[in-house]
Amino acid sequence: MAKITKVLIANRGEIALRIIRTLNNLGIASVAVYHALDADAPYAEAAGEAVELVGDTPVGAYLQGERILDVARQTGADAIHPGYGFLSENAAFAEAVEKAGLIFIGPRAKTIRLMGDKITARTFAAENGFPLAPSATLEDDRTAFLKATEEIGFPLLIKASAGGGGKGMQIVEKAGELEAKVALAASEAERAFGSSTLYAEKLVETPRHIEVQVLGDGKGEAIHLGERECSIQRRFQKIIEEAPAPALPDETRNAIHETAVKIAKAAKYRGAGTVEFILGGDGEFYFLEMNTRLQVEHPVTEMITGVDLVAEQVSIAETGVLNHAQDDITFEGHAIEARLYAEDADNGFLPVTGPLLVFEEPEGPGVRFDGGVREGTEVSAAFDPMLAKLIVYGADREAALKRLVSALEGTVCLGVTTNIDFLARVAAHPAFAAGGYNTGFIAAHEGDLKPAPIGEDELDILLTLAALSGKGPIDPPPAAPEPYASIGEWRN
Amino acid sequence: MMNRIFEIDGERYDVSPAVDGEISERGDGAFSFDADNSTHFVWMVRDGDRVFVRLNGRTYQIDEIDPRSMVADGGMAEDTAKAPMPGTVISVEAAPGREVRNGEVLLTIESMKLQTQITAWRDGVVEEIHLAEGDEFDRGAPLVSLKGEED
Repeated sequence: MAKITKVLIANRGEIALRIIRTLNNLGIASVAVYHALDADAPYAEAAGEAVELVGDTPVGAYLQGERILDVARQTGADAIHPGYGFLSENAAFAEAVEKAGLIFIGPRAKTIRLMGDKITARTFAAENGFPLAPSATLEDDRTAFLKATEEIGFPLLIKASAGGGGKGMQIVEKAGELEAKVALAASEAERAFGSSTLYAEKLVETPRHIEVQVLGDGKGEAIHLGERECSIQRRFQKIIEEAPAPALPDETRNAIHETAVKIAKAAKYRGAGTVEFILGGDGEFYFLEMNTRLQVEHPVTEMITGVDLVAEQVSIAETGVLNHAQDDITFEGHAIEARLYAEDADNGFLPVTGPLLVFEEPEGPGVRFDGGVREGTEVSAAFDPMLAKLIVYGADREAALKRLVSALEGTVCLGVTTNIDFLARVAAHPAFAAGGYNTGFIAAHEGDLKPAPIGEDELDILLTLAALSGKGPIDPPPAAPEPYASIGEWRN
Repeated sequence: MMNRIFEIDGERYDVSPAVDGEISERGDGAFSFDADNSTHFVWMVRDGDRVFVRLNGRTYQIDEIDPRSMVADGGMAEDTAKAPMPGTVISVEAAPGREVRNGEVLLTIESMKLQTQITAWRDGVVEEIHLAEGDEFDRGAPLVSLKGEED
């Protein structure tokens, strides 16, 4: 058994800090790597040692596998934790780490190759009989395609194989429309992409994104730690996740868990991974992909199981044995995570940059805050705009939701625009409270999720505060102040 | 004395310079503010002409507008291309002093992994390229200016 004594974290931000916390608890030394822009980041200071990386670009600095291996050798680290993003799903890096005689805290390189790629993962799932959204490909034989397509069932979606951006895309509601729509899609695809190859798949209506946390020993044994609901998404990215998934029949929940475990076992998965599914409004679910790493939203699972997933990763990497049997895993209470982004939620969710001038973290029972920034941090366009994750726990969903609302109210981020207010509006929305929402939630409630008009009292206060906040561009405030009540002279 | 002008959510407001209220800092950007027999606890910070306020669980951004700029604005806006979102300069195709035609590529930027070409919006002469290859910029940053049109 290879004892891990020192871990290099090949990552940055909140996840690097979160990994260091567990390493400290385990009495394992930590090595951080950082680009100059991150020199003052909390994680770089929290690590036992920190080594600077120089790269062509800030992101590129964290992608230099060879350089990171050099740092590991120099500092005497015996294992590398890749976090999420960056090198975490890079099979060549995982291979290089093991070749260098170090431990990669994650699955084997060949598992990353198999499951990390959507197409090979889909083929693997199909070969093993796991549920996939039915699909068919048209190359030359149109008659065969029409027949295969009818077997998929309606409604279905026809896409150009070569394409994107909605060109050549057709929704077919019923069999009668099929031939005409296929012809239309084929000619559109030919014009747009120079290829009339089409791809048809079942249109999953009101899809929910449900994923299952799994742990495997790398030899064919695997357990699950329950599911996470990740359907609140903007720009195809999750912003609120919860565990367990609300409004999910036990039968479906158990079937999804069982399928995820079978997939992990079939892949002889090692370490922590996530199996993602699409669940349709009709209760049918389909394998989407597997993430062969720690997920951003892993804390909600930790909150309801009491299992530290990073500690499990380290332990499996050391021993190749699972610490828990399936029956040892119990679920208690409810957890919700909200991701804080530096972005303009009222303007297409575009990322924004700027200095974090005032930053107040929420506190209270059942509140966990995984942050990667501090007051004074300059939020740059160089990295992902996620600033922190707020995770709340309650005895049940209602209690967790109450805590989410009050913790968001207690989170203050000034100096750079963030999505905190938007998250608060989602949390306060009755359709969110009802649960059972799908990935169309934000689009469906777009109007409700806009900020309410500013009240007159608030406007008076804001203008007064603004006027008192500085001298203004031209005139200093007059020597003789007038009472507050007399300032309501604004017009617009 | 001139009124001060503030902009909130795209709306502009004139405020008499003669404002007052009791405001006291409680530290780290936290203030208490007394008005009309009630006390509000707020968070506030000013960054140049921009004021950020957190009031009753909501975040506001207030921009102070220099009244003088409102006069000059009209001409400026047409002569300078500003960044639609934060990003990086990939390449600079034009140079100051060069005559350009409407539609000619001036520089290429990358934002959110998408490359965009900034093209001349009219015939004219390049006055200034505000950034160099590899520079990072924020939303609203000036990218390139054309010389003012002579009428």
